[in-house]
Amino acid sequence: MPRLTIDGQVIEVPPGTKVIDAAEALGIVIPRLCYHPALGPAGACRLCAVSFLDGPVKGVLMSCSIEARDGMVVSTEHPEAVSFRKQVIEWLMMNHPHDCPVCDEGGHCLLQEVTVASGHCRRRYPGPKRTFVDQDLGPFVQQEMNRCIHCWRCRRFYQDYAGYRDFGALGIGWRTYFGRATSGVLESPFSGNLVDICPTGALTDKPSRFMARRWDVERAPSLCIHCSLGCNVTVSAHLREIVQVEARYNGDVNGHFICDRGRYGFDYANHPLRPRSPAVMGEETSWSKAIAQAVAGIEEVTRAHGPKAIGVVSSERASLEAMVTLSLLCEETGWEGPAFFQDEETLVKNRLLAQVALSHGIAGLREVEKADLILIVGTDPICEAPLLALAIRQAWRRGAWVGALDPRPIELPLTFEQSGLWDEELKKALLKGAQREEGLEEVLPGWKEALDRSREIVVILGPTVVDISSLRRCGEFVSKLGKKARIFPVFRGPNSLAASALSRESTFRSLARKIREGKIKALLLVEADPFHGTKMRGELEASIRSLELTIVIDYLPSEVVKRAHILIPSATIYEGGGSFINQEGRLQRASPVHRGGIPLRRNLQGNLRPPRTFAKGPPGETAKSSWQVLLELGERIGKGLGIEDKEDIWKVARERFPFLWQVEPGGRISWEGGGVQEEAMEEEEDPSQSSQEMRVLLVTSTFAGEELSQYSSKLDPVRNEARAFFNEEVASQRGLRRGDRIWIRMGDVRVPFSVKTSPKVPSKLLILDPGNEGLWREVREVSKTIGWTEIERA
Amino acid sequence: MIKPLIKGLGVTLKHLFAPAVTIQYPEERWEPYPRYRARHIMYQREDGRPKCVVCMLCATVCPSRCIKIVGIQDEKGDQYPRRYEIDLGRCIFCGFCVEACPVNAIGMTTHYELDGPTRESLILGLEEMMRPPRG
Repeated sequence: MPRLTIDGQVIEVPPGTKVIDAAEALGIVIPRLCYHPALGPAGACRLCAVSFLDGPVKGVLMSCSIEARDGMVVSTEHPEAVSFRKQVIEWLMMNHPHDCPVCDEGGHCLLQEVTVASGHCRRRYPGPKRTFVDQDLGPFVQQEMNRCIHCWRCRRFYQDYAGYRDFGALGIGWRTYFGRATSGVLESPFSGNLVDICPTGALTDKPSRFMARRWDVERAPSLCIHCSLGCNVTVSAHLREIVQVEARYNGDVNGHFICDRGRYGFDYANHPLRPRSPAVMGEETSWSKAIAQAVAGIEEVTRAHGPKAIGVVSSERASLEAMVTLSLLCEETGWEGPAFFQDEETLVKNRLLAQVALSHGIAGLREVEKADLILIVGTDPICEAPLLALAIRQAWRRGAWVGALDPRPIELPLTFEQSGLWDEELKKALLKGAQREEGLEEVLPGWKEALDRSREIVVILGPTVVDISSLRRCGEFVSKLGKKARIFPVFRGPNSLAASALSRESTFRSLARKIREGKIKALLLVEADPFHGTKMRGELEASIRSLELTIVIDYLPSEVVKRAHILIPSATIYEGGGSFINQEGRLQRASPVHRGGIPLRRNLQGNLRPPRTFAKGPPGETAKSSWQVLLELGERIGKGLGIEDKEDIWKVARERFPFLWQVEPGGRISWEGGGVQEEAMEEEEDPSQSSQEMRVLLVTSTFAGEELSQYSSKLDPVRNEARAFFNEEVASQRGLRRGDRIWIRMGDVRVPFSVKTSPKVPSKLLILDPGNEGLWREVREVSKTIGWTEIERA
Repeated sequence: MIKPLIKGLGVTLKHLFAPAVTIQYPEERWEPYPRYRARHIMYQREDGRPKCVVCMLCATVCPSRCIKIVGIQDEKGDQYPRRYEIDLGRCIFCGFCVEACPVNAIGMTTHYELDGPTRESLILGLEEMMRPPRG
């Protein structure tokens, strides 16, 4: 452990630490522009110069490129170093436009900060400034190359760290241009990070352009709830509107970066159709009236049919507080539920996955980065948990071997082996892989060799594509791999792990069955939209219509909200905060960012000013989170839980659900899964017996298909069209080529798709990605199989 | 007792013959000093657009937070305000906005006759601000 002296303070750091990091550990922040902890040193900006007075090296040197060694004596305030840094800033500013007032970065700009700190104010060189022509980089990143100071952070992130090639450095010397060969949309789903890491205004955030200065916004630490990873973000709100989401460093979870879905998916909170005030039968009313109506309705149904006639539905995106309150409320009242999952299969899969992962050692993103063998089973990282792809790439950059078993044509920014096994074949392969010495070598060439030299194995496992017995098989397979193997589960929602832990036997499908049988007369939906991603739209509509009472507590303008008898708006994570348990069982809390309300910008349209009326809160404020509404409902029907605030929930829940609450926020839960019966599911017959039929697999893509980001207008420009993936051979036999337009008949609706082909797709499988929906919403039922007679060319 | 009375009357008498400090307002008008700070003015570029570049410094420095700006950008990349409002009902005429402006876009005139029948009418919009004050 090298010991060195920095500004008179002695510190001992692990070997390999850079001097700049050692100084930061002491609280001395050496100015830097090109150095980034995740990207490493580049030595491009020359700003982190310090004086090495004694030790192995001497003189004014770059602290970002020199590793701390024993006996070093470093001075950051040595006159020589200070004057060096000052002159560096002067020549950096020689070509930098003096346009801070019109620059969007002004106020949180690293270069502005160091320039002001150095005291530079007058340009001595009288010649012209270097100028560039800017490019249009798509809907997320605004380029202004004149402001670039050539720190290389963007290229290092985009090409080295994230692994996409369409953005990079062109030209040499001071004419180096950071951009694409031609104007165009950035291909990477991590492009928003360029905005975060750019130390100047060269790359700025387009959606939040000119909206507010950094000091005008309300900011709070929050969580990204667009997938199960639970990345940490900082959210900015301005004039009752969420304007920007940035990555917040958390070394245990996401590191420095987030994906574009998490960064630009926030706009559902500003949605113009978002329910803002309570409504009864579609007519707006006051809070007290809506609650009174709901209470009266519940009491009437209970009197007539008993408490079991009320079904309760929630979803994986509800906060832990809401889930716990709902579970307690159901216990107290005897209502049916709560159901957190669509159907039995999803519930069992999620539970099984949690159980398998927790019993084999659950892995998070950091473990993935450290692994040297990664096997992806039934997961498409870029689509289901985008940041996972970055973590896999970091492992791959360190020499890890990556293999995937998935029928979808997975795209990852790295080289990997993929085999499109599915269903029976997957099961067989896993069984064989577990039994035989060479394992999966047959399907994934290179497996055996990688396995022999591996020390840390991570198996990434998702519940969407693989079936129950394959999941179980996978658990057995992993235990055969030995103790060094861990499982990285990828769930669908941000709180799926908690949902599977708190779930009883009820699922939405089982409740719907009871509705049809007439056993359930009323439904309480808490932050749930059963219509999202359903295959049984027609059936669902019929059962919802037959209900006597539908109470919806939600913040999305979802389809079920439109059908609600009583609608009570709730607060989003930005207004109410909340706790979520991510895929590795880490309990994390989000703080409220602002009070909410109808964004002022919308008010300004037409009207000069917001109406001058007198009220206690801002207009359109939804002051209550769903758990608060639930508590109020419970109190009013005489089943109070004795809970008043969040702390009470923690207290009660700690006693009732100890497995969830043994840890403090930030730590991981320990829960052995539990509650999965071995014979839980009857396995279905393979319906694709006849050679003409293809099994249908519904999948989602990065920017389309996730429930919350679906309502974000910021993501509209990058959403993909509906795609149908065929096996290459099968498609060519039928005369279909990549890019062809086809219609697929589903019931009485013809849905347009664009054809994609891949040799990896199994021949008896048709993979459908509904993309940005559209006509998809009219499909009443998605059948399990589709024959060629139902496919026609457009 | 008499002495202070005479003294007081003396003051009254003095003011009876001294020149008046008040003016007959609607007929006579007070001419403020050139440095007097009253209604704001937005200076124009050569093409007639406001000189403001939407840097938000005035809105930031404003102690009564009465400035609201919404900016846009033209195809050349020049930024200018689409909406620039000063709520004169809240403004304290401190002149900080003028001082903060990096492009000398906003100034203050000596036009002090500011009135209106409603609160809304006291909000100074962009177009009005770009016209020289009436009177």
